[in-house]
Amino acid sequence: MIKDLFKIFGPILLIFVLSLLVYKVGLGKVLELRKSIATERKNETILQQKLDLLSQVAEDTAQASFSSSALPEKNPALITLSQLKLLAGNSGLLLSNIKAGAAVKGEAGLSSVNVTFDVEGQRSAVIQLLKNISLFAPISKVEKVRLNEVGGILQATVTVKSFFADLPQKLPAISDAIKDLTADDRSILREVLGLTQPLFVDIPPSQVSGKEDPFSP
Amino acid sequence: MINLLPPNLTANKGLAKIQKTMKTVTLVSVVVFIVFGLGVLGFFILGSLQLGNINSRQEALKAGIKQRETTEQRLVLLKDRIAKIKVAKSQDSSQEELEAIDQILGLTGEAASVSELSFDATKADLSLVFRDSSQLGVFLKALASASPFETVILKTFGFSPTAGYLLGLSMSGAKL
Repeated sequence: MIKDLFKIFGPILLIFVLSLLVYKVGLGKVLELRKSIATERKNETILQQKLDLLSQVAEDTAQASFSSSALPEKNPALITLSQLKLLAGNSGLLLSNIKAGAAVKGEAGLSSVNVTFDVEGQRSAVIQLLKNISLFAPISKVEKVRLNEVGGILQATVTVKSFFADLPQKLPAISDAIKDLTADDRSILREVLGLTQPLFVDIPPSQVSGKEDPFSP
Repeated sequence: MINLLPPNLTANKGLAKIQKTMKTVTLVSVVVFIVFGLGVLGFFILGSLQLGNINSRQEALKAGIKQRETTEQRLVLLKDRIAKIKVAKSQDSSQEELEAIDQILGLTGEAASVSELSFDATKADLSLVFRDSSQLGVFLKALASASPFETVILKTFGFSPTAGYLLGLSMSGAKL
């Protein structure tokens, strides 16, 4: 009797077990594969967009050095000083008592340094100098001004704040999406391009002069 | 037809019917199983091929991006600098006060000298010395009609026979 029952229901039971196995393993694998395809398609789109973007922005990125001189990596006190001296020289003004404060770390990785100086000259020339401070690189702002006028000569003590910031530490992963510059970014970039560039950005270490071996003939 | 089998060996009629039905069901199940199995296999093979194609396209794209690594570095740098420049620009500065002071000093012309002026991003204190009262009147009238500051407070007002009229103003809220 049991043999008969096995003969009748055995094959269907076998098919049922096999179907269950195929359903569990096979369908699971197919679903996993579909998920991988969807993810990889998404990654492919990101990569394609990234490649297209990098091909388009090559021209804009050529101006990256200007943005670096507008917001340098290192304390720009000396560059600011050089720019101030150039401005003063062009207007026939005299700078004195120049002092640079300690660097201050601010919000969003932005640091600043205060440069204080005295300036003396015609009223219009001094005011023009103060106005021009916002027009040079590195980005600087007139923080505080104290002045008086004696015999038609204006004497001012000015505090200028110059900004600097660390460079980004790492590149995004190759499959990470990157965004194009926004209209706002481009307008900032245009402003940066209009700034008076400094005569130097890095101060090279002084070269060893004379003979390499002082005892050689 | 004559059934020569002894009656005790004749198959149970009900069991035979079930056996027949089960045979049909098994056959149908085998067909369905094969179709289902082949479908799963087909999907798997097609999917694997598709994934391989996507991966090879991705490799080509990655190579293209790698070639433009310098551009990417520059773009990342540019975006970083621009974002930080925005923060720097958003910080308070006395640029507006400077413009407003310049406008006020423009009103005085050569008629007054700046005894003392100090300003920062929040306020400006200005002391002016006028040699004659008529010039002082003209200046005050002009200041009242078109002041570049929202608030102008007359802090001090004095007269010295040697210097002239001394005017002390405290101003805040540059409107430029």
